[in-house]
Amino acid sequence: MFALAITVSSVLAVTLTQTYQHSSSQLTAQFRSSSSVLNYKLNADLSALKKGLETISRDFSTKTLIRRAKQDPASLQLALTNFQKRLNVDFLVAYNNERVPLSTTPNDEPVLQPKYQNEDGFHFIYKDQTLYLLTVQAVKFVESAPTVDAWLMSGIKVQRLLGEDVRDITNFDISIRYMNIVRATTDTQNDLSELTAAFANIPHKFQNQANIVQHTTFINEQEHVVFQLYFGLADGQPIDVFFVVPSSKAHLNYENLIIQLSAAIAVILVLISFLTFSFSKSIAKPLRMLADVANQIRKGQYPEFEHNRSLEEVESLSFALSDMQQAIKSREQENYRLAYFSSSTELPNRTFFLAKINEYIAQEPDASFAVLWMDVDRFKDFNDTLGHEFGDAVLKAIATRLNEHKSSSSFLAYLDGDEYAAIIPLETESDAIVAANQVAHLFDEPFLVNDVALDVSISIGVSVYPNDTCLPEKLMQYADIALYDAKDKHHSISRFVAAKNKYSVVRLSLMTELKNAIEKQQLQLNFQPKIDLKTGKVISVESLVRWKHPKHGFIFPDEFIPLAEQTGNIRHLTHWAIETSLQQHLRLKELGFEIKMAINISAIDLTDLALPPFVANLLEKYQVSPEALIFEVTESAIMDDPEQAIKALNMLSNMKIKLSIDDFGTGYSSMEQLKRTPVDELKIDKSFVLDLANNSDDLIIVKSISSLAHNLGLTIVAEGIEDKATMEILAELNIETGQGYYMSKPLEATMLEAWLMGNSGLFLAKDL
Amino acid sequence: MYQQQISNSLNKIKTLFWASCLFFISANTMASPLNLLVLTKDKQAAENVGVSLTPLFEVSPEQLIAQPQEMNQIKTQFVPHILMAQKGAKISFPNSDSVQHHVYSFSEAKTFELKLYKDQKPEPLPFEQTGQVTLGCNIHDWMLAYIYVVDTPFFAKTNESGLVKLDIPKGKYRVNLHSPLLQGMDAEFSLELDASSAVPKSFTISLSEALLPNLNEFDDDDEFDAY
Repeated sequence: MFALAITVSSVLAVTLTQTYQHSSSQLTAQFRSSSSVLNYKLNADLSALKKGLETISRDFSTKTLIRRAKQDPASLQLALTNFQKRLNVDFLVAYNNERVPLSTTPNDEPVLQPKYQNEDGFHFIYKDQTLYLLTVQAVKFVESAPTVDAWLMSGIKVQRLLGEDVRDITNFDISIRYMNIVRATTDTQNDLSELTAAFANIPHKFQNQANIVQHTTFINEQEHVVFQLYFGLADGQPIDVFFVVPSSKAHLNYENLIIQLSAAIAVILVLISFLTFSFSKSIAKPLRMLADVANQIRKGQYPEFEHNRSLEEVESLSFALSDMQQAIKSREQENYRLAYFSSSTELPNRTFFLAKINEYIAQEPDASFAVLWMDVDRFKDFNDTLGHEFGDAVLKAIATRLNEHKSSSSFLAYLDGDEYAAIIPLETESDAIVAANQVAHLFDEPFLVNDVALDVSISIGVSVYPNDTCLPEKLMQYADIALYDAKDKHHSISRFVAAKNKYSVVRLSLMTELKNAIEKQQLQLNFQPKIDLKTGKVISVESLVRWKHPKHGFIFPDEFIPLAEQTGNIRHLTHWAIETSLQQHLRLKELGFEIKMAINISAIDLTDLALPPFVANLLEKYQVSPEALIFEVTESAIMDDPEQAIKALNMLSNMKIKLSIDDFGTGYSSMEQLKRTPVDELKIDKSFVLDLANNSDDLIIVKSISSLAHNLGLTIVAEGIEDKATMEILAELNIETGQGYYMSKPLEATMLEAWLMGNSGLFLAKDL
Repeated sequence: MYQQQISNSLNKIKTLFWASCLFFISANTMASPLNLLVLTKDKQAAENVGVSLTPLFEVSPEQLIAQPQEMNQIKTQFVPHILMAQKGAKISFPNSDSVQHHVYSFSEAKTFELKLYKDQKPEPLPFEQTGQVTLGCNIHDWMLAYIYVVDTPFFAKTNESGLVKLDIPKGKYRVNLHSPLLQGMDAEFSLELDASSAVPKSFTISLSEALLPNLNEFDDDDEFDAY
């Protein structure tokens, strides 16, 4: 009861304060609009004045009078007096372009300050105990000329602007105070000195703040509400504008309100106390019980409870609570499904996928797994040609097939659009591509959708934990980037690589096939003859590897060699090339040609300590002299790791295998290292040779390489010879050996044999 | 056809050149060719700027005879916008429009007003004081022109490349610039230069202030003919 009494009295207090505040804020709003009205009215008055002044300023006779002011000041003065009456202003003065008054008695003329022209807002002047509002107008003798020749300034007494109409439209009495004295007012009942005293306690304002302060003052012993406005400065002193309204008019009379409210509240009090008593027994206890139940539901529990039948309302509430509990339960499951599964494919969605990556990492941080990002190729075409419903059926079919074939340790998700993702645990990093290939092969069989057999392919982007990153979001992002890369290059699978080694993805998948390619005899060697430039004798051939891929056709070494180097598979390739070359050497020997075999050795091979013994074994096996072999090593391969390279080259050199530096002139050879390197031959890069006959720069380079090599006791091969002239120049420069399309392009084994038999192993310069 | 025109005008120029040479020779003074380039503060060509060269030596009296000038009114515009005239020159104000004009000036150098009725040819007015004369029309507020009265027969206006070419008697001159768009130091610009050599001499004058914006964007000659 006591609490109720407090409540009621505080409600009363709040209501009254609110009422007061409401009327107060209404008053503030009224002040705001009234100050705008006053502003608007004064601006309207001013612009009418300005129009009048402008007309006068453009008048030819005004201009003539102003121009002749020196000679005839009286005429100008008279004209100004005439205009002043016409405009109904309190003064009108003309100034020359230096703002000096043009009238007869310049001393009492108001000063024309530049700011009157330049600054916005109202400008006032205080003169002879009177406050004037100013209007200024420039006079140009020639209207369109930019220069101002004279000025006109008019002033109107502020009191004349504050008529009764102002009070009517603003609902306030307005007073204007300047230098602590009220100079003008709309108030007709109180005189200016009374008003001055009433506002004495209100300080000046130097600008208009956003929050409006309400003052209270007594005028004629009656309480008034006062608002204050800053209007500008005159001679550095602020002009205050007061908006005044009697307090009795301003606020509602709320004494009646107090009585009415008190009576109403007393009645309510009695009623409430009665009701509380009679119902507390039948309601309070069961309700408390239900509240407990609701609380348990809040905590995520689903308690069983008895329905209290003491009161119909309580019983229905009890059942409602029970129903609600069921509904929450099923909605929670539905929410979970919606949150973690895609409705169209019934596969887990992106959110679930990300959570799952986290889970994989959390459970086994050391276990590697691949993230596959998959995208159905040309899915848009299915949608466009066969319709969205069909498209959805295709997505579902793909989901089903992926799901059927996935291993129990893998995790599959449908992202959105035509994208799927999978997590596949790996033994080693390289298994990632294998796994991706397996997934890709799931699409070899057509899909049967609505009795239509569809060939569907997908592109796969692969990232690997922890090799690429340990961050789940990054894994997804990287796989996505790899997918883009795959799409971009029209490859089916792309493994994410950090920007630096951005090797093509098809090549990556090809790498898994490269080893098999050797076994399946997809690789072959072509041979390009090298000619002794003095005698024309074919002395050696360079072995060049070609891959005849059953699916992709001819693949050039530029495409798979760099990758083979990066993965280390190059060794197998080199071993195979050496052996095949030796076999070919024997074939040619049988045909009667003693031809040396030049084989390209990569930088990786130089780090392979198994290479020298492997070569030794082969020479033994085929009974071939080591002089029959030339190993070509690129300049850059040596310079990558000179110490290691020189070590390996020394071993090979000791075996009497001839060593040649390939692409000489393109890298950054250090002379010191070249001297230490046990090479027998330099191969001048074809870029210097191709245009040799026409390019004098190339000639200089070839000449200097030639003299350098000869001084170091090296022989020289020039590759890239395409015409007779070049060959002849090279011969003149004492370059020993030449190679190029002019002699022969790289030939398959049988073609080489035919070519050699056709010219008896002797290439003679042909005239084109 | 076009080439023909060019060669014609070239011939004209040649003739003019020889004529002026002869004139100066007959005046017993060797002519000195002079090129003056006026550039704005940001090194663009300053077009339509009046340049006057006041000789700082005795000039024969027959050279000092002021040539009459003309300030036309065409399609309610003054043509030209800027007119240079020698002190004492008579300037005529023909009205080529079919409407009345009321040309006036309140400038110190010349205050006058002329009511110009259609097809009327009033007497030319003498301009006896040097300085800037701002012209307006009391009927057409947009009309604006400037006459610069200078105390020398040697003056010209810069072309669209900012260039003035003059053949003047050998000797020293004071150079002044005249344009309503000049401000500050440029309006007071004064330079002494020596044009004593027979070889063409070139001088470049770079303005030190930006030009005022041109509020009367119209050309002296043909722009309005296009309509």
